[in-house]
Amino acid sequence: MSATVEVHGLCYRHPGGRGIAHISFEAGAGEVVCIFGWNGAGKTTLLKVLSTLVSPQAGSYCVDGCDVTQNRESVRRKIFPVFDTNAHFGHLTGRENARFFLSLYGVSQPDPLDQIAASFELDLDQQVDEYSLGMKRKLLLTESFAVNRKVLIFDEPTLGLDTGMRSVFFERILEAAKAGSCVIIGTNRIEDATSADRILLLNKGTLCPAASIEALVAGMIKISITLEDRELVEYIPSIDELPQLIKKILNFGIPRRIEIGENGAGESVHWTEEAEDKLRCAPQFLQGMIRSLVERYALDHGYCRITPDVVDEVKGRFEKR
Amino acid sequence: MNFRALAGQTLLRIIAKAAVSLLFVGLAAVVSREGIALAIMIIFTGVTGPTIRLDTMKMDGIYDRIIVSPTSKSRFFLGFAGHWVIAVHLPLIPAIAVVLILKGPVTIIFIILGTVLAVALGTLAGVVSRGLSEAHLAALLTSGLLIPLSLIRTPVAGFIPYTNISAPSFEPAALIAAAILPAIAIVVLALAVSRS
Repeated sequence: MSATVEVHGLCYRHPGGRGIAHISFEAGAGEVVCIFGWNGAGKTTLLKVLSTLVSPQAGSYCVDGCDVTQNRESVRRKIFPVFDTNAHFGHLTGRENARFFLSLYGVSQPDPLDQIAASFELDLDQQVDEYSLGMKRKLLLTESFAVNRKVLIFDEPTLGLDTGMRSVFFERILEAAKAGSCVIIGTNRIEDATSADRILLLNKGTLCPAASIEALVAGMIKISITLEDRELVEYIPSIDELPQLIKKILNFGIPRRIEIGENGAGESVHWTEEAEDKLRCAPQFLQGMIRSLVERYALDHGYCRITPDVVDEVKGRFEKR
Repeated sequence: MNFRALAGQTLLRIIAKAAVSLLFVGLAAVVSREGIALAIMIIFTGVTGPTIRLDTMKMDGIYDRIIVSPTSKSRFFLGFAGHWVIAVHLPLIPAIAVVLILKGPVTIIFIILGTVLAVALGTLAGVVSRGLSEAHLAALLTSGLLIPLSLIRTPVAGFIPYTNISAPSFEPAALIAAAILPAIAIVVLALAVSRS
């Protein structure tokens, strides 16, 4: 596989001292590379350099043989960056926005626009100010797939997307890679990294040797949640974050089943129909909190079948507080 | 390029601005100061409009998307300024008509040149400023300098198109002198953005 992206000794330091140092890697056509790093690892800085938004202070960066320091415009003709902000004109519709931004790439009649938007279940004729966070993200992703570029660069691409749309995004990514594009994804979500051919671990501004999913999830707690119509998989570094996660999940619906375990194996929590019914009888504002506490209770007891008794017990504890 | 995207004007805003500007120019005409009133409105709206628009585009991340695209930055920002020249003129049409009736049709040349100068400087201020407070400061400085320079009868005044809006000169030398600064501002803008 010939290298489409060649990065050697790339450095960029912010005035405060943070940034990236001595970054080197190569990525080929048809390859999906994930740059994985926790908050503050330097992902966004690296992706800004790769997107040509800022110039590297040292090192070289070539796309398809064009060096960014020699000919930045040639590099820009070969890439499509998607930043972590959903940059659009709020007073225009999704379609008007897409036309404006695609015109900057010389695409006047984006034929597949409607088809791509439909796959993301996005209404292009709605004003962007009326879009939710996830819809704005979908519009940005729609634009990225409507332009045929050698390199697609994504910073936190699934921000605000639900699980169903995340899978649509990764299907599109694989299609783009199959068509010969090199895809670079910057993320701190392990679920996003699982679709990549290769994972590069970014830590405190330096790139660590190629990581594996197994290495990334070591010490993490995997939570699999079954909702009415979808499956969610989340990883959390500490069990203390579980109540927060549960609260977030409740926005999507009432979980039917939750599996919790280190590296994907471990205890399981199962909600019975009766327990669900009982919980639904509780006042609305208490339901989320009770559910979070039930999950904690279940964790303390290993595998747990959540029956009405368990709900009552936790409810009692909650009310005592 | 999309006029609504870059200049952000709606019909309601244009009508409101037209009414306000007509009122100001009408009041100024009572004391024969309609030219100065129009010049001040062109300076303020021409400088602050594109500056603040670019700054909000920076805050929304739209500016970064434009910069990393392969489009020619000189062409884009000159197009942006061109849209703003239209956006500044549109609501001023009734006020401009009043001035043209009272000062003569040649005034339109100085009005256009004055708008080009204000918009080019405003766009430049928007490109170089980093944040809303810097953008406000740059717009205030630029417009604050242009007004006294046009009003005070120094040799510089002859090169500033606004001077000729209140007292239009039909001589070719005056027309050329008034065109120098707008032309320089356009060239500086094109050069400044070409390396973005």
